[in-house]
Amino acid sequence: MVCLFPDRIRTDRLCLEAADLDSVTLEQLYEAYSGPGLEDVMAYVPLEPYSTPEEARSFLERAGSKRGENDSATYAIYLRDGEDGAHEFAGTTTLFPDWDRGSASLAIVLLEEFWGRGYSGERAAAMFAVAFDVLDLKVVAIGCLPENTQSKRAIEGYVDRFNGTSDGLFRNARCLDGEPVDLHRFTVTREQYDAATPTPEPTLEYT
Amino acid sequence: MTDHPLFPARIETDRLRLEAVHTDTLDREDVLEFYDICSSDPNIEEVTQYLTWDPHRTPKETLEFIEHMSDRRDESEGGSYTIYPRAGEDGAGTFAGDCGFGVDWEKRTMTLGIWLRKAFWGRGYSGERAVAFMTLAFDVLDLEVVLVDVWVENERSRRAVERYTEACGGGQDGRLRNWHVQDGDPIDVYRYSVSHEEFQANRPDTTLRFDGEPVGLLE
Repeated sequence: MVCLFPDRIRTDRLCLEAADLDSVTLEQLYEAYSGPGLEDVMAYVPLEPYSTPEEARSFLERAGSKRGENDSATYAIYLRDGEDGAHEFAGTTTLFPDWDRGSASLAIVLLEEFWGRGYSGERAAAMFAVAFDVLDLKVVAIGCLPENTQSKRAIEGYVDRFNGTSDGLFRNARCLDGEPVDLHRFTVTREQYDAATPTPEPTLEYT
Repeated sequence: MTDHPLFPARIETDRLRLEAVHTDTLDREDVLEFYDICSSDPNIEEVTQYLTWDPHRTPKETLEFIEHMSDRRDESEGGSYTIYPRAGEDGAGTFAGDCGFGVDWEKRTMTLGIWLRKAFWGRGYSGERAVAFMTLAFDVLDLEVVLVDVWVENERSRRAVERYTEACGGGQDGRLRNWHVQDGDPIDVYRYSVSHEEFQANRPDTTLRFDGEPVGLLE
């Protein structure tokens, strides 16, 4: 099947590489996602710190096959030259298209040492470019647990820059570790994105 | 079987009787009566305008709907009920529409749905039936939240849903963009919800019977 997602996306400060068994080394991913110090990073996402390298392998294998089926696009986040920690692996981000609904949702895991630099918003801008300019979707949604105040602030910031909206707090909208949780939902529509002040355009690359 | 250990086969509210839809208890005549209404009742196009289904074109479609709802009931995933006004109501004993629920046991939620023949609009039946299912959700099934999604363009239903969710202590959660697919196109819905705690604190004073037994009485 032809893969619709770009292989690599460059923003001002980040390089997003399609995550599969070829692009990210198992050692890198396992080291980063096996802790210690991941409690805060993974507190509000459906992910537990890895306890075996097999979990890292199966994550990458799954990311590769999902990507091959155009089901979802997971990227490894690297810092570009000039950034503190250049070329380091900083986390992962995924775009989940829902083709029938004409929408997509976003997820990110960013290692704690890279928090507070605005990388999440920069990565979101790249994901918006893929969702709207390449995949021609109509809405991108971002969900956030109400108690995850740090992410909520970051999301509010970039959703606002793209003219998006906070659409509500939805009760028992998701299950996390088997328990129902409430979810704030933010969206940016195609029209809102098109009307936003252009930021430096991410470069989408296909190999 | 219509007999389900958790979902009542018959629900009575002050003004309505709800009968569980199941292939085991419906005969050919029932299915054809159901079909007549779902295919060619006066104003059926208007009734189904904002629903997830279009008027039925063959009795087979009606039967498939009934079989689908029977399976959902057997699997404890949901139920569908035909609605009859009780004695004293205009049109007592006639088929007035259909309502139902879906249960997401993992999220501990129940989602409601209803349609009424146009002749039965404007009587507050929707709110009365909603209170019956909220009682089922919270008192019997021990769920946490009851949800209702309304297409943003369906202003009439929005007003009704807003009224009864707010009367039970809940209200609108927000707008879900591109949430349902209607005739191939994504549509936005407003989501309303009522939690267990809100319902306990705002339980309407009403008489309810599940399979003949009184339920939902104020403690």
